[in-house]
Amino acid sequence: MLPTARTLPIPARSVGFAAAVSAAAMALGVLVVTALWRRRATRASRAIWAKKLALAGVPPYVHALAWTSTMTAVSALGVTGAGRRIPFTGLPAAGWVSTLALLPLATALALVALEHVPRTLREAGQLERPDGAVLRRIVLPLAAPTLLMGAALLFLLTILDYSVTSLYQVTLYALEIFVAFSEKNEAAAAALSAVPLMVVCALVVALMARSLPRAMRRRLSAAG
Amino acid sequence: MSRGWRPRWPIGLRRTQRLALAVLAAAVVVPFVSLTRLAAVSPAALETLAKTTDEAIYCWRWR
Repeated sequence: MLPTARTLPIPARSVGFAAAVSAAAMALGVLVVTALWRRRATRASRAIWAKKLALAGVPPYVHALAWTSTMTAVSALGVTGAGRRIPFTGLPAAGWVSTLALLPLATALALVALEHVPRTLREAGQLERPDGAVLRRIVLPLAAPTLLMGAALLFLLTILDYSVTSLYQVTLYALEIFVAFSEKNEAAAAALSAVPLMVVCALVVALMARSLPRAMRRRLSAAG
Repeated sequence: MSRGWRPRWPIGLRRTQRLALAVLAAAVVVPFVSLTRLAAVSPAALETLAKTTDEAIYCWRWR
């Protein structure tokens, strides 16, 4: 069960990949929500948004299938030159698909975080500062603990998913558990190899548990 | 919080927001179109996708 030269960098790579994907998805979610504040909500736009958020339930491997098919179709059009395929594989492809698969959920989490900032504080800031500064100095700091919790949830979903990374031939830790089981056909070996991943996930859950009371306190003190 | 607020963002932020909206649109349109085409070509293929992750990946890789 000791790490070898092959398996040693995999946990760090897995954590790095999940952190990058969750940060990118949450940043895009925040940008989308702040962009929507400029638009008036109509019944049609609410229906479109409900459909977009419903895609959060589509498994990531379906996104991978869709993106690979799309890239194959685009390659067939000859955009990249005759007979040349778009190299849609490896870490960039896995990162792109994982981020986009999480984006509807990330948008919903960002919406919850940003909408919970008390209106009175934002309006008080607007008297003195432009909207960009109000967002940077008031809205984002107050929403930060909730955004952090959302990002932690996205991190957990990414680090535990092996489907997208295995489809794009990227070896991450979640796949190593399957490898450990396949080697000896022993459930105990797979359970043992899952321990480091469980420790990382437990640390992230502990961070979420610490962040929740902080978010509640900020909300209550800001409202009071 | 946002009720009645139509903020005027700096131009740089507006451009980045447009890019983020385009990425979200792609994240929604690409799987939706792909699944619709798949359903039109072969409804049985959708059934494959609804199976467990292992089976679906196996079927997709070796189809």
